[in-house]
Amino acid sequence: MTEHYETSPDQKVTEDRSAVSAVDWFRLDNAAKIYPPARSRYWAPMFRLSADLSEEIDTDLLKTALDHTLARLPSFSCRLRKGFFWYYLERIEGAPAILPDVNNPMTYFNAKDNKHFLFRIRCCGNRLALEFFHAVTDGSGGMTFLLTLISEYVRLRYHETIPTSGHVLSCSDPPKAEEYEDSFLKYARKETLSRGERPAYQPQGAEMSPFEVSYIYGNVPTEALLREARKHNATVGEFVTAVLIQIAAGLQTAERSRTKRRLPVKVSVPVNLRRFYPTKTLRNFSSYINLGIETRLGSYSFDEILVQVKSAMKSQITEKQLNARFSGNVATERILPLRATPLFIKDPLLKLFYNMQGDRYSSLSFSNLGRVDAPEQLQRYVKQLDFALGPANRKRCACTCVSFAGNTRFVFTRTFEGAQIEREFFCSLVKRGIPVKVESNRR
Amino acid sequence: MSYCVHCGVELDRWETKCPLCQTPVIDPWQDKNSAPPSERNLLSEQPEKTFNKRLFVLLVGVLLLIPLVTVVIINLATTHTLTWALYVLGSEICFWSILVLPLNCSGRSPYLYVAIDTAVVALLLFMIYLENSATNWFLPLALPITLLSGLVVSLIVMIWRSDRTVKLRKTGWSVWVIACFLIALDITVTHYLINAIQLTWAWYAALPLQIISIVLLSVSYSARACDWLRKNLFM
Repeated sequence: MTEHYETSPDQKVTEDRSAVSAVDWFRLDNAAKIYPPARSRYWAPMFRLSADLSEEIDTDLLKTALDHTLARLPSFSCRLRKGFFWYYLERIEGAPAILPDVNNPMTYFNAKDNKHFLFRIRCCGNRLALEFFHAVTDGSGGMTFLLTLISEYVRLRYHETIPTSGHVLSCSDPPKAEEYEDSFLKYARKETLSRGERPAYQPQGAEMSPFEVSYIYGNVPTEALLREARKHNATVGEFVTAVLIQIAAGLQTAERSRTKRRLPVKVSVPVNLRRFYPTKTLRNFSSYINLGIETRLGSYSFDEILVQVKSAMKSQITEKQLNARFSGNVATERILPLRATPLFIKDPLLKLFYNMQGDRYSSLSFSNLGRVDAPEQLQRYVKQLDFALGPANRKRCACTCVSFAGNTRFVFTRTFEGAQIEREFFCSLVKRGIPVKVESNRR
Repeated sequence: MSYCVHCGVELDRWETKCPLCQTPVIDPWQDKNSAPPSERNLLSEQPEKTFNKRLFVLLVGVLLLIPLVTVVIINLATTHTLTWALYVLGSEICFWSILVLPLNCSGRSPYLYVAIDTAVVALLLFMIYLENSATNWFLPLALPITLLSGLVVSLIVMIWRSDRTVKLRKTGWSVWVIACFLIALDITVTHYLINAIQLTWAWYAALPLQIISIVLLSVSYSARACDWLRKNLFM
């Protein structure tokens, strides 16, 4: 069955694949433009998607599945190149080596060690993990790659074909040009909206040594979390954001000395723009909003914070608002003097801009991939999914969450000592009657 | 399964302490002999150090050789003997021994480097003296100042290598050593110029430094003064 499959679909899609292969380079999308200058020799902005399968992974079959998946999703087979004015992505052949998993993932990334691929694949026991450099894709695109890879692996290993749906694509289908279009450019309009914001409070703590990072994982039954959110007439995203804001505000109050002024407490929430546009792109297509409270106006109860979050989400997560925001970024990218500036000048300036401005306007980030609907056949082979952000280049705490098969997994990434945020977050869930199971990478 | 008695969260089977509050997990029924699965027993990743010190030293050596060979050829071609090219040779040896040598021999005693550097500087001055020996300045002036400088650097290194002393006290002693050096320097120069042992300009530099060092040392030996400073001058 395997042999039959491996030959016939290839023949079927040769024409389409060659059409896509003809595009041997493409420009970085609007959101990705900042990431190459932001990275350093050892560090890059990354995120990780991993899956615990029901049985130990056969790496030989995984290699074959990876080859098929890369042929189906060619926008992931690329390396970063420097042009005279901008970075660009160039198609490359082959596949990255399958690496063993590590205890401190994403603390170090250098594409040269990875055959120039901008994503890394790791495997250990029954865990399969993909770590993406953010210039290639966002969480949604990465999840499509992961689930397509797993479904192809399941097909090779168990001879069971997984039906395509949502994030699961069929490797027998041809690659589609719309999957690697720059949707920012396509949907940007003339009207723009600037983000005039005050810098936000940053949680403090002693910095960990280089290449050290804390990942704390919390497993929560989705049903219990949903029930609690509904009790407050909110979505899970709104509820968790409000809890995080309350925790950060509490930290600021505890840390504040007389000389320090009160800064707003804000949580940065990425928004998947695919909800608003008929796009199939697997490259970056998300924006973000900063939601929070002005702590100088007084202390807020949880209900007050939740009301603020809900109203801000309702008013800001609309097609018009989001479009105006990313259109502003696209308009900046189109400024002629900026475009005409050579990369060797632009590169350090963008790095400086990222280091100075990057994370100043939010106290924490909360990235919610939401519920991942995989076909029932696939759910038999996947026990759990994880989504984690890599450490930032400055002291920072990030929370991510993904729901799969009745469980919601929270992952807190932190590069400073002190698990105050995680502790208060999980304890607040326990106090609300939601059972939490915790594990970490630092034992 | 274990729960944290403080946080109330369930803990993963392989956690030895609560990741949130560091409370140790005490579960008498847990099988301590069973090994965790491979995905819970991972190693940390660190990039390999790519800075090749030996290659760097070699490159610097080659880069220093190019101007040296050039000036030697020009010097020989114009004057048929080595004259001013010796200055370049001496300067390059100084540069190499002060900046490059420690990179290639990390782990050796710093006093060895100070001794080598002092010897090399003395050698450079001797070369200059050979080319410019109208007056006798090397033995009565250049050599004592070079040896004094070497001694001062060694003393400061010794002070700062001491683990038991607080930084304030180290600074106090270092300032005191520098003040003494200035006095010795003044005496050496005056002796060379007017053949008399007396202080001229060193008063103006050494006296404030001595006062500063006495203040620093007294504060460093007084716990109360240290506390007062910490309380009032923190930033």
